[in-house]
Amino acid sequence: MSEAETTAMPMIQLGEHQVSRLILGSNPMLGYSYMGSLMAKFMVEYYTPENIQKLLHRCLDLGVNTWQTSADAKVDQAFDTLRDSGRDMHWVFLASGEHVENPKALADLVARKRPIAIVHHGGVSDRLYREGRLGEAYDFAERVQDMGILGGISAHNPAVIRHAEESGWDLDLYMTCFYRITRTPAEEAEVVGGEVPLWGKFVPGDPARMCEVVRQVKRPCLGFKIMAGGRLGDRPESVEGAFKFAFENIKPSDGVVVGMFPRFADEPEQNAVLTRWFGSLGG
Amino acid sequence: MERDRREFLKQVGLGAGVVAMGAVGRAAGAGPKPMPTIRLGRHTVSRLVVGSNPILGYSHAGALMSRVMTDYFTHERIVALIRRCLDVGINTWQTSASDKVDKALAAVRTGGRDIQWILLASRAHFALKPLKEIIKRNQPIAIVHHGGVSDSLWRAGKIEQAHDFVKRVQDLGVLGGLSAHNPAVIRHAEDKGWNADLYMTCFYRVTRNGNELRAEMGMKEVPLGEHYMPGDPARMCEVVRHVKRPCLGFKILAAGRRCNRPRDVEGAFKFALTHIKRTDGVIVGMFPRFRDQAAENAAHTRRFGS
Repeated sequence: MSEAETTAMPMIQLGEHQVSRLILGSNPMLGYSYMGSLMAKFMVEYYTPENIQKLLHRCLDLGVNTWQTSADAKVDQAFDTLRDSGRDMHWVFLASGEHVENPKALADLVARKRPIAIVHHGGVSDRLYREGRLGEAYDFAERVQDMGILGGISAHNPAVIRHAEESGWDLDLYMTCFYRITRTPAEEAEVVGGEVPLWGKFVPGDPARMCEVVRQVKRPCLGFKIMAGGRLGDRPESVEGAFKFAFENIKPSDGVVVGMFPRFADEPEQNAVLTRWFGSLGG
Repeated sequence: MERDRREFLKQVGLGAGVVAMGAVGRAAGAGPKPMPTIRLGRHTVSRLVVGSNPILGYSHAGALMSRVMTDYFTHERIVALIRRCLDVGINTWQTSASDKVDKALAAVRTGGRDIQWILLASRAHFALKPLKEIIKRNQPIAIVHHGGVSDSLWRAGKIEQAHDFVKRVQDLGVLGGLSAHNPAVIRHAEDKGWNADLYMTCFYRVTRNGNELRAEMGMKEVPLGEHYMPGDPARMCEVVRHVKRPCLGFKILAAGRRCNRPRDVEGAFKFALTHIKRTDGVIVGMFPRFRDQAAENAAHTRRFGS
């Protein structure tokens, strides 16, 4: 048994649910790579139903009990297979498109897959904020809560989270991106200062800016993209640094969502060990 | 010479084959043209030269992508790529020194075909003895001083060391060249009358350090990752057009950053081949895991570089 399997995974509370501070994300398996379309294609190719199952079981073995995903047929199938096997994970659903616009589609999905929480998509939240329509995201979260499920808002722009909190919106959680990758070209030029490199959306000052807001809000936050869409994954020390920074700069009641691609390394174990090291509440 | 003639005939014949493939042929849009060529010394070189970064695992897109590339490029797949390049009219391969390259060159040549080789030399081959050995072993048509090292020497005020290396190569009867990511290095060599045979000119100055990004590019926050500045290709091409010697432009696809959509790739080829001289070519690394990139890139070169 490895260290990650023998030491208790630190947990946080989301409503009535005990959730591991490390939550499995889904971008790699759904082909949302931030390292170009070629890498995305590799990820999709790797993530067969069998490899998804292996990852889910490995995460459960290591104490990672929650999975955050968008809606996708792959996810549906994976939950069915996992639950048929007699095991289960909590599901945090990141909702956009049809599931935000069509209450029936949302109700169907809830009945079928039983998420513990539904969160309004961060890219859409940022756009609504820019358009002065963020109230629509809150309306959605309230609708979710009316169904007896935890409702939250995700954002890449810290101002969205601050706005929700200052408006006194009664949300159950936030998802908080460590990098504001939704900046417009003009906003990118302003923060970078002139010419913006290709693939230059991940700005190093962003994690500190988001974490400042995360510490101010009372509600639990799930930080995501803590490894900058893979940019901090090149060396073990940069991965370790990313986990250390995240856990030292969020509240004890917060967690992190991390996408994993265990093609060449046991990333679930590595990430679980780092969460135990840096995210244990007593340590 | 016989080998050159055979390869040329294959190119001409192959043009029709590429067009017959459909999408690539339609993309070329101009019938069975032969691959355009340039001269490097006495050698006739296809304007599209196949590079080697994907083969050697230098993805410039993170360690994970490098690993994926290394994993893919077995010896058999390297040889298959080189043969495919020959099939579509690409007659020259530019690489760093590597056992993988040695073995692939040997396999291609033993198989009765040949590809001209340009060695990008770095520190391991700067001294005379290893330089002579690799020339004897692999018969390069040209040896070029490594661009990253050139840029470092330039920054340190020691660029003459690169000049000395170029002369050493030429003294051995091989074309000698200088590679750089920083256009100022190429401009310096030309203005000082270095008698280099060719330049390799990176379309992106990826060797800027943090201080240079702040001081020269006015950056306030330096984004994570390597820095491919969108204005760099125009800056390098201005120098490429200014110098008399043939230039081989490289990283025209920004190490994959211009590859997300087919029209991005097409745009990058169009820009490159319409902003360099007619006597210049481009070097493009290929990773044919999901697409026949050799044929696609050859079609773009025929379309924009004829």
